[in-house]
Amino acid sequence: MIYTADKLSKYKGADVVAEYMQKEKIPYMIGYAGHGAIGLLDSFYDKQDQIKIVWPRIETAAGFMADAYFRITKVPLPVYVSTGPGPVLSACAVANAYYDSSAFLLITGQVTTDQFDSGALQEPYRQHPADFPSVVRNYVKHSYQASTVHQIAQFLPKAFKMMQTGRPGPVHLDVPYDLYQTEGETAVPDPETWADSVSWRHGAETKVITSILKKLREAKRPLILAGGGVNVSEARDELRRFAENMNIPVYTSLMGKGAIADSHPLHLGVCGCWGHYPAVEAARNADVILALGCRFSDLHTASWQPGFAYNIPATKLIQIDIDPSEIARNYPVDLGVVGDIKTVLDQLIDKAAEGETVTYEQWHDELAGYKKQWDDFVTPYKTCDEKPIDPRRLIYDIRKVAPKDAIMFSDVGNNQPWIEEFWSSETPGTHFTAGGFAAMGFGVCGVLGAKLARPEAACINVCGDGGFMMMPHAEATAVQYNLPAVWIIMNNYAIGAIRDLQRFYFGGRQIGTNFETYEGTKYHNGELWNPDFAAMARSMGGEGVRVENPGDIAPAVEAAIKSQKPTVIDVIINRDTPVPLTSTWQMPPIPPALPTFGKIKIR
Amino acid sequence: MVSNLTLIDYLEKESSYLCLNILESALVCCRKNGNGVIPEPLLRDLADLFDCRTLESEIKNLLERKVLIQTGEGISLNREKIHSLSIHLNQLKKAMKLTFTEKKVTAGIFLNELVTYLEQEASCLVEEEANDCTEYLLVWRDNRYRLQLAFSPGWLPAVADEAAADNIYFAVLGPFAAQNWQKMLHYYGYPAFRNNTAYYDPWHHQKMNISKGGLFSYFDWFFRDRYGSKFFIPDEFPCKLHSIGLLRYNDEK
Ligand SMILES: Cc1ncc(C[n+]2csc(CCOP(=O)(O)OP(=O)(O)O)c2C)c(N)n1
Ligand SMILES: [Mg+2]
Repeated sequence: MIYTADKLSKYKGADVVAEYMQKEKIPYMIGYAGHGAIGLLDSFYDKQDQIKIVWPRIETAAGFMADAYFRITKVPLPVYVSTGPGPVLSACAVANAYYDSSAFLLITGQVTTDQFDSGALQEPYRQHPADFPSVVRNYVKHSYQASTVHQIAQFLPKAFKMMQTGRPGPVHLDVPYDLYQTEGETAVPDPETWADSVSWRHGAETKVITSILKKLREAKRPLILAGGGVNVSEARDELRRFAENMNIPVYTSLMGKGAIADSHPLHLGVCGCWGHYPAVEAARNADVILALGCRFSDLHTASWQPGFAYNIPATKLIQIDIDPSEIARNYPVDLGVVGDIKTVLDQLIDKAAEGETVTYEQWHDELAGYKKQWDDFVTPYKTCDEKPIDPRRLIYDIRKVAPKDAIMFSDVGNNQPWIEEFWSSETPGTHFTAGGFAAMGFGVCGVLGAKLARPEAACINVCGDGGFMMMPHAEATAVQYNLPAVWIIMNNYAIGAIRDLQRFYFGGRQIGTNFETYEGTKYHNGELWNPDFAAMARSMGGEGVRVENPGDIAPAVEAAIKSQKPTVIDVIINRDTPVPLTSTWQMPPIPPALPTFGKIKIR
Repeated sequence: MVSNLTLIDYLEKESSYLCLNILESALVCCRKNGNGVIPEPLLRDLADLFDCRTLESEIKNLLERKVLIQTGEGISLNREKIHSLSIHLNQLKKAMKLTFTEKKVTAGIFLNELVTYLEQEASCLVEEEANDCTEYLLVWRDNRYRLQLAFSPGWLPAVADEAAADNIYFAVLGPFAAQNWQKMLHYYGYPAFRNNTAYYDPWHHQKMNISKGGLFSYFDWFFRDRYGSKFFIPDEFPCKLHSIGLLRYNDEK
């Protein structure tokens, strides 16, 4: 027993959850009901002025919204679902959060405790009684299954502690739905006692800090790589200060994009298959890289092919990560440090003040040359008035009219690397995307989570026609809850990213990737077809416009942001323009593609 | 029988790259196999690099001078010449002149500087063998690297199988671009060749190399840091890799 006897009283399981959420000061619970969830919802009935129930049109959307909310606020929301299909539909969202070190508490309903192994409606029973935990265990930091009311009380603070400490991640709590309405003897724990008082932001030993600084000062071509960990650890300010103090250029991974303002003079851009040439060229020429919270994934590293993005070794890698399992996963380290990015950067800033700043003059000159080459390449697209619209022109025009601190969610597909390469993230911490699990629809729903977190901000989702159609009901949810988000669809009548793989990796044999009508016996006789997205939006009570002329982009986006109404802007883009490759990506056994920009580096 | 002196005299007077190619190849074959015979494909490659007629007349010349001998098995180096020839070729290789905008060095000094740079920069590098500033065997991160000055781009395929079997990366440095080295490109179709060999031509600031040894990154850095220069990749190289199916272009290219 962890609770003292004098605090015990009778609670229904659902009351325990509701009161605990209140103590955690949770503003929203998102989910979708079924018979396995109404017992829980009932206890929130009288608390709706403190905890608002938000109910999108599918469980996956609920998870995506909570995931996005955490990325912005670091507050993990509870996501409630019923039994059976609800939990299964939420699995994609929980995985999406897990891969990107985001978090929410997934509360799934289960058959009642006396029905275990009966095969009662929706029970996962044929291998093991009531075994949803086995379904999600690969995608959560921990999975609990309560068998008493008291256990619900025990597990909740542990779950919140686990989600918010160390490397964040979602946690799962499976509750047989009879427990929601059964009274049990327990106490509602205080977060201060059980979860909030954990110290976990550990730094590195002084000698390690000294050694990192020494390596950086002795280097001739040092770089700082900001991975997603910088955003997760909320170390963006520390990153900028350290880079400025040391005069060391910074580049990011896709998940780190926005950790530093794109226009910061020390910033080089994103390194990756579809990154920025200055960042990629710098990464392959650096002698020391200080990597902060980066996994070195295939899309970031040119599938680890030497010379395309990295030359580690010879480049010496100093890798800091809160999760030791990520250190030296893909590249050997010169120095690996297990620690919280924010704390270690603070230590580095303090210690750096004792030494002098190196100029790295030659290195900066060289990098300025790379930046100039890239600028020369991209500048003409800013004014490109081709029709169908060039994707770059679209993004530049959104940037022109969106407020500086607009929150940008890309979805998955070509729209993601288009944003990665051409969206300038000016206010740190305003670019979000699904990098690791990369579930389509995350951005489409995530932008609603963003609007819950930052109602005053302009929240934009740039998505594909494929991704939008997976979650078009996001518009209805936005109208219902007055969440005036803006969706900008890069409409190319295709699941473009996959169609491009067929064009470039499979000799142009396009099958199952164009949205077209079926006609006769041969699928390809059909016409390209999509629903009228603008009309769909209007039918749901929001605004909808279709844009085909480049000159109409900026006015449409400006009007959407100003309107304070959920708006869909359906933009017909040039479907044949590939996203420029600045390094590469391989789909073994097919050989890697050569970069479209920048001298090929093969070693 | 021709004396050592006349051979050296000949080499110095003529300084014919073709002759140096043949002699270097013959030496490599002597080291490699018992009978020292230059295999037919290697002779064909040399004919390809220069031309058939010139090759034949140079071989005839060297046979007449008894530097090469013809046996039933083929053409090989006169065993008596191996020692002196090897010393002399090394002298000539080392003495090859490299002219950069700010610096003039000999090839021997260049290679020596490269090895010193590797020793400084690549931590835990061990120099296992060093031969007269023309050849080094280095061990780094459990991989072995043979670095060698060379005249000829022609004989590298002859050692590729052995290098692959012994798990050695074989890097040659020489004035290859001026000697039609693109004729060797078809060998990149062979895994042993592409995975274990590398050509560097500091005379023309070029390289052809897709072996995945991390130490090669330091070659580029050495050239950059010590000579402010860059090894470029000749255009034919990625084109050939593309035609073999080892690289692809996306359609913007
Ligand atoms: C849920 C889900 N299904 C499938 C995929 C595989 N996938 C990755 S990108 C992509 C294409 C996305 O198409 P669209 O949303 O139209 O974007 P585009 O590439 O055209 O910009 C697909 C199908 C995925 N990542 N997620
Ligand atoms: Mg699309």
